[in-house]
Amino acid sequence: MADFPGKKLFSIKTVCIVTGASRGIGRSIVVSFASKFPPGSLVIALARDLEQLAVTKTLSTKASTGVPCVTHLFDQGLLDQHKYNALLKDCLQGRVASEFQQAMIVHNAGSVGSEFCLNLTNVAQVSHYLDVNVAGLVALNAQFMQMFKDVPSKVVVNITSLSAVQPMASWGLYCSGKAFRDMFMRTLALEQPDFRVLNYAPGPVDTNMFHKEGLQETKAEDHLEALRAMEKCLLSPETTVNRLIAILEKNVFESGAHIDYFDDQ
Amino acid sequence: MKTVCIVIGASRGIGRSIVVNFASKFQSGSLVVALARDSEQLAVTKTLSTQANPGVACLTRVFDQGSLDQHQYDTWLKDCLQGRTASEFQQAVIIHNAASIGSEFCENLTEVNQVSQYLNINVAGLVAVNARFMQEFKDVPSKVVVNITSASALQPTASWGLYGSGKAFRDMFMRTLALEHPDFRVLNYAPGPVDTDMFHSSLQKTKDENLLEAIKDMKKRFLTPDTTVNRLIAILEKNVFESGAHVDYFDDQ
Repeated sequence: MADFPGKKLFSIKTVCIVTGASRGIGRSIVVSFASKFPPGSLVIALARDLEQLAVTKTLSTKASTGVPCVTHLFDQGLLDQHKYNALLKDCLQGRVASEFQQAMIVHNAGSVGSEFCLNLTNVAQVSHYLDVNVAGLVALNAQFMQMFKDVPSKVVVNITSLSAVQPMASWGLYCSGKAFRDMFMRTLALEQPDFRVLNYAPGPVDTNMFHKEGLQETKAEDHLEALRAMEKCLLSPETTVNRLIAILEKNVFESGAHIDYFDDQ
Repeated sequence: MKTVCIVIGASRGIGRSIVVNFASKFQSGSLVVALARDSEQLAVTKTLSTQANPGVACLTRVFDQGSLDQHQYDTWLKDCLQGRTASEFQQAVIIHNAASIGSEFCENLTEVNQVSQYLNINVAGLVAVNARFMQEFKDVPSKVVVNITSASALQPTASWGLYGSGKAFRDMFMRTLALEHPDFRVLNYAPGPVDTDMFHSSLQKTKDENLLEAIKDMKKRFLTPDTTVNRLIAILEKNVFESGAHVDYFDDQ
């Protein structure tokens, strides 16, 4: 049983996996977390873009002391079981789970896929959206749980959204996918009382996802107006990640809870 | 009013009961479309439906909601209308009833293709069928969408991670539909514990010990399909529910 609250999640030797780590919030998580973990920790940065992952690695190495950053190509939408089976072992590069006091995973990869319910007639496209945002997360998460089952402290963070709790026009897949992920995390928390599980909603953040998938691709007019209004007061990735760090450091959150950047602290 | 009503997972259990009970209530000239994978059992559903109301045609079609065959999704509805047109009807109803439980602990869900297939059946298939329904009947004056959900959509259930989360997806998807279409009546209906194959299968396949005990306990007071479907009918007839709401059999009426 974990000895929280107050247990210092950033003070122990940790292996930390981050998906969607090539840019935006994912990159910021890698860099900020690496700077906080003690030497001997390991950060694993996963994404589809090797070039940008290399930049994440450079920034992470600069920011941290004695915390290597391993990058690995990972397409969470690809249904290749072999890749799932081999991934974590490859990333550990000869190190073993028993070296670490803590294992952490941040499920950050996601896409918006704006479309009205009426137009979602292409079943393979919908299935692929779910592969990227749901099935891939579930399978990677299970690999994580299996690989690190004997590590004393386990932390799972799901990057969620207000959309998980509030429907938003032309974001049916996104909202519902986030609702799935939140409930999945709550189920994980129920099954594994020794895990610390958090659904963190980062607020509106100045990232490629916001500008491209949000401002350029959102199909519902009203919703688009609302996003344009938010554009003036976007958070930087660092700001929202610092809030995530504060929540994790304080470590009093109920396992499985949904916490938003804008919630009272 | 003259209604075309589509029910998925209509070969047994709650789906069959919906077909039969709804058919008995619709005006003559209405059409009930029963979809499922089992053509033999669908034939039984059709017999029962026709017996309950000969004035309402019951059409059956084999339909696999887990299939990624776009042709199936593009043609099922036109096939089922059999030359009739959307404009003949004053109301179009769809009941998203097909589902599976797929009990497994989070830590054992390592097979990405199995998880993907689960989502195809319970989520992607529903979304695509629903979109085709919306397109075909967009000019029909009254549109009703019912999602058969579960208490598990709201409360985490050990070793039912896929089921509960899939239901949470479906609930939110229905809420989004309701937001995008104020002209639709959208209901998430949680039927309670019902005496069906799905329930009995969950007794055999549920992996969490505590949950298994709880389900065995539920068996003492579980509902017949007709009981819970009659409650659904009452809710739809009263028609005061907030579009997109989650209403449970055990809620105050």
